[in-house]
Amino acid sequence: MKHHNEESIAIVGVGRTETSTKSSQATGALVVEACRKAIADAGLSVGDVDGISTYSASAEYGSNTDVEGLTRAGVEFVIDCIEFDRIGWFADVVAGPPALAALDAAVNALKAHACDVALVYRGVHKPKTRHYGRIEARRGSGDTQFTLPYGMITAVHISALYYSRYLDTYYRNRESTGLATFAVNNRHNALLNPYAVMQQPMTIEDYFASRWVVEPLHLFDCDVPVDGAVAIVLTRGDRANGLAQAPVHILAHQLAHAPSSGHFIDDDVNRSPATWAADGLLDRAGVAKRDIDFFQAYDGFSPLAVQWLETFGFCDRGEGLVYLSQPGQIGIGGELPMNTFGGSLSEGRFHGMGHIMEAVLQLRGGAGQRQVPGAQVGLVTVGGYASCAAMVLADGAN
Amino acid sequence: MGPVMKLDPESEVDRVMEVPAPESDLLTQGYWENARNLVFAIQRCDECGFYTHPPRGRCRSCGSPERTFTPVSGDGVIYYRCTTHQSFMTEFDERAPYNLVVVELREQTGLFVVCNFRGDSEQLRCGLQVQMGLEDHGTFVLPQAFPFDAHGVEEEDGPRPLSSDAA
Repeated sequence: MKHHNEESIAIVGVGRTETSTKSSQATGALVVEACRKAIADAGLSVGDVDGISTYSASAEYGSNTDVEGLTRAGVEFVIDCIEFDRIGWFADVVAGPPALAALDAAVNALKAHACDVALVYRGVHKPKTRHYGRIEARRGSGDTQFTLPYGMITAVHISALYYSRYLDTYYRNRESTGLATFAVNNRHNALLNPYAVMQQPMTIEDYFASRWVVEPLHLFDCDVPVDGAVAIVLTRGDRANGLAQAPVHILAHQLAHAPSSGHFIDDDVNRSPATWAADGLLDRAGVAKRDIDFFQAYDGFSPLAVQWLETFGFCDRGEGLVYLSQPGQIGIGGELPMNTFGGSLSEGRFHGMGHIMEAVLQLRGGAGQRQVPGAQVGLVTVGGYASCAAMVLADGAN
Repeated sequence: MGPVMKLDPESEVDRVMEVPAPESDLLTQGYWENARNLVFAIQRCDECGFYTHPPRGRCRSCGSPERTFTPVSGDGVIYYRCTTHQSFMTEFDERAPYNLVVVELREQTGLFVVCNFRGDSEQLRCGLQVQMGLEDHGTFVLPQAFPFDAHGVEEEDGPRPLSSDAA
């Protein structure tokens, strides 16, 4: 296990708003609320924060209708809303595996002493006057001139396309309840999470009865668009000790992007960014696979979690659905508790910030009814396919 | 090349086939012009022969700015596929459910084009051999995937091996 020193980076504060599907508040206001809560949670003051980053791409894939402060909140807007003393580092990240792209940047900024206390946030907005993901465009321009005329419009298309090849390669002659089990496990955990938007119980039958959005993906394979914000505060080594909360240490982190994605990447695992994000990560963290007490696996669409399970070698390639469907595997008391907070599928679409926040709560021992007993080391992944990230976190004892 | 299909604006079926138009630009003009002339052509590097799609200002492999839209065979394999049940645009409201595929062209590993499969949905599967054809929408022509022959020919062992294995 890793020895922490003054250069190691720790998460020392977390904050969030309520999760809603019909908030009347501006996204900027929700972000400020989450940021102030995270700073207070750390026992710090606004004046202590000198670095800030966010993943600020639209919460809605392909949207061009965002209004700064109302439906999104970039760093300049947030800096304008909070009376900081001095900001020495900032990054408005619009590409990459969402939450971890912004968090990774902040970790590197802290390591480089570009700042001493960094605030990382994500605000998400659900449109109120039209169905989420629906766009109006008469023409496709830029790269979308090669996709819109064919009706390839939103992120669910991309996941459905990738997942189809997985199914046709590995599950051509067998059925699996893997994704259903995964979605049901998420929902079960969400019922233990007051911040989760989905509070109705779900069964395997409910999953299969849910409509196709883009076949082979059901409605319950897709995350839930919500209003809300999550923020975290990070600092370096010694500064992390003696604050209000037990620090949660970042043992290793890695971003990865396909060398060229064009429209799509092929399914060669050796060229897969997920593989690059995972390669050597546990070694660098000084932990073994068996040390992982929980896995908050990105589930913007449920097949992404399957990709991550297989990439980290929790099961063989092509066996992810079988793994998920085994009893006693991914529940809170199981072999590898997954998405203990409900995941994006049932907590809501925070683009990975929910995953990170849950990892912090679990490692503090503060996850309440959904606490994984004795959790000391956790794995978080965000993104998938062309743009991936993974992180290993641990409590202070590690 | 596969078939050329002209839509009939008087036909009820074809009318619901109206789709958002592609807006060609300085990088892509040649692609759409070729399509209008009923030629399926992909940007190819004059220096190293590498195909780049969507078109870019430089060759993705060697960086050369010298490039030509070059007719390709149109032979390919469905690499990814899906069927959209929920429409996300007005233009597709009456069309859903519709299929969407990514075709890997024979000319180069990983040379992908997005299109619709204009064949029997029952046949739709990754690994299915297809032939690119052209669909005339009046003001523009869209490359589309058609069954390789009347019955569709499926590779015996499903999708082709991973590209690293095939080398």
